Amino acid sequence: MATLELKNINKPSPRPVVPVNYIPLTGWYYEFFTRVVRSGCVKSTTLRTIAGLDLPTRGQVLIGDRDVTYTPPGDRNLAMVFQSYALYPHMSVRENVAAGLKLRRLPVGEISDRVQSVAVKLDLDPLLDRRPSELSGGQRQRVALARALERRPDVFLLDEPLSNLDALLREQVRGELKQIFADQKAPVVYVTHDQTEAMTLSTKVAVLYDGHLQQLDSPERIYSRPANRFVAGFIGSPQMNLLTLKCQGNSAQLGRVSIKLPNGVSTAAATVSLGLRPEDCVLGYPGSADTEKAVVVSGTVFLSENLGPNLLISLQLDEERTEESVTLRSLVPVGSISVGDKVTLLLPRDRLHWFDAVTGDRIDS
Amino acid sequence: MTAKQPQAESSWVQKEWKTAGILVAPAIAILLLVYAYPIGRSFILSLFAENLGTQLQPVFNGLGNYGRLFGDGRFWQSLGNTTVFTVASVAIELGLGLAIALILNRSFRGRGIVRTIAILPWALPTAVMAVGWAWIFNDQFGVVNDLLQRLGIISDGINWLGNPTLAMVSLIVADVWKTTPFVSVILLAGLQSISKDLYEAHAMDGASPWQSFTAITVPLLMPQILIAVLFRFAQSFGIFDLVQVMTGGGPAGSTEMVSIYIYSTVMRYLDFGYGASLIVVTFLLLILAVGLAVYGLRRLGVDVTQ
Repeated sequence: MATLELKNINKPSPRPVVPVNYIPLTGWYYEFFTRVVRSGCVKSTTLRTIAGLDLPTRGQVLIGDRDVTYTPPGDRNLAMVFQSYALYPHMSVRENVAAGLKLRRLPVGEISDRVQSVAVKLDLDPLLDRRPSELSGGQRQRVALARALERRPDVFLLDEPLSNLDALLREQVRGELKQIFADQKAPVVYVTHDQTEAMTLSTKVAVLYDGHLQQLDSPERIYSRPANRFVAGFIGSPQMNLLTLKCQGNSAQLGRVSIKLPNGVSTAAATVSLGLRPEDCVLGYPGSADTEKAVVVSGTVFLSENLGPNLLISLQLDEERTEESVTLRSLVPVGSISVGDKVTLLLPRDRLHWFDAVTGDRIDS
Repeated sequence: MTAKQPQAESSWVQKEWKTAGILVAPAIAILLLVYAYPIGRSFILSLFAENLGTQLQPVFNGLGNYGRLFGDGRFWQSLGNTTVFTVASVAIELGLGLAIALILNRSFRGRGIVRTIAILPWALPTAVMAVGWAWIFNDQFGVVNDLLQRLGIISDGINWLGNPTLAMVSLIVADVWKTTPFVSVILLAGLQSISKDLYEAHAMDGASPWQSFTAITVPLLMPQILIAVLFRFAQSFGIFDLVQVMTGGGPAGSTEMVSIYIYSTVMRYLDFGYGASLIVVTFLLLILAVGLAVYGLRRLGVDVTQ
């Protein structure tokens, strides 16, 4: 099993310099999860650098213990699924899938065996003699996938493979992808801006923002312990409540309630960021909860949005001084609440995320 | 109500057809006037003798003109000259045009200026540039001889346009210089429509640049190559102005093209009937050549109509 490692990769994109810092990827099924903010080429740049289509100005790309930074793309033994699929329009599906093997001068018999087996696996065998222009979007996507699979590369690179499919098909193919790559022994680097794809497919997610690595972790950790305010706000839908609170000593002020900061959190600054997922807020009534375990707040609902399985309510917390109004969003059962209601919410203390108000970094361990 | 529906629909369709007919009629009339009439008139004229011998009165001659044509060595020589000129110039222009298009398709500093300069020869009037080339190949004052003498390759000036073979070479050089830009512009447009992703995918599969060229560039460029070749073939086969100005068909008829011979027959010898039969035969030969080319390419799996 091969491993892939990026060391201090730095690549200036057309305008800003985009350093992709130290991304050690050793394991077997990986995903890059990138947020493209400015130039649109951050995510592709990383992938293209791994593929050898772009050269980094600094740093190394390692596959296993092989330094491939300056190896031509064809000698790296990688397979890439392009966002556009990059199918050869003048070749049949069969020829498209076989093209890479032909270039590697495999025996004709083995080529047709491999093409046949991958075609059966991806339900492409009735389509083998068609041209790409005669296929639907989902079928083209499968051909691109087949072309990558039959190469049996050391690393798979997938550049937003689902972004050209409609929403329904995307969900179906996402499931298929997961099953297909579960059988593969090679690491997969998957670039997407869709958080659902990142969370469902990966064993590890790298969140990139502005070219910098924000967090490299399992999907569970990314969700439950976001490394900074950006990751916290980016992953999860509906978005996490992110509140800037005043603090005094080792307690922060949320509406009328004073919350004690967790142990070990320094409070030199006058403000602190508090994060709390809407689904972690629980409906309650005054005096209903153990204040040791949960913070109890109350407020008035001013907006309610039906999401189907539940209701997303936005409420204005009761304040000592009205000019410092704080809003909180919470998921509650459908039909339980309507606009204008007075509500009491329980905020479990172990679900609170604390971030530095200035740097945005997580401050509770 | 429902029974009336198809009737209403058919009257609507009829009206559409009527409108279409009115709109297309002028174009059809012009096409008939410009193409069908001259072709038909030439064909009829070719069955008559109409020359100084008949005092320019048409006298029905049956297929006599065609019989004369088969024994006319000058016609066959001009046809051979035209074929040599066409095949050589189109082949060289295609190769050179493709090379230039590939270079212009790369991004480099000053590409816009180079692209503009590259198209310039094509924008010049042929008669003007032919005068220029006649001087360039002049045996006493020509630049070519001067350069070759300075480089010490030759000691005495070569009479380029006075030697049958060299005169043909000179014509081909001048034609290549003028029309290669046309070919490269058409091919460049084709190259730009080929997605960069295909080359990157191919490179990741381990293809060398040459393999990418043969497996991706050439097949995907085939429609543009065919258009360029067909256009150039037709133009080259009917070449007149360049030859008329540079060599006038000489020396000793060695560069006389079909078009020049027909021009002489009609305008100098005033043999209209025979001239018309020359035109008809050349016309049919051209159609045959294009038909064979298209058929051959179809057999190779290339669809020209795409």
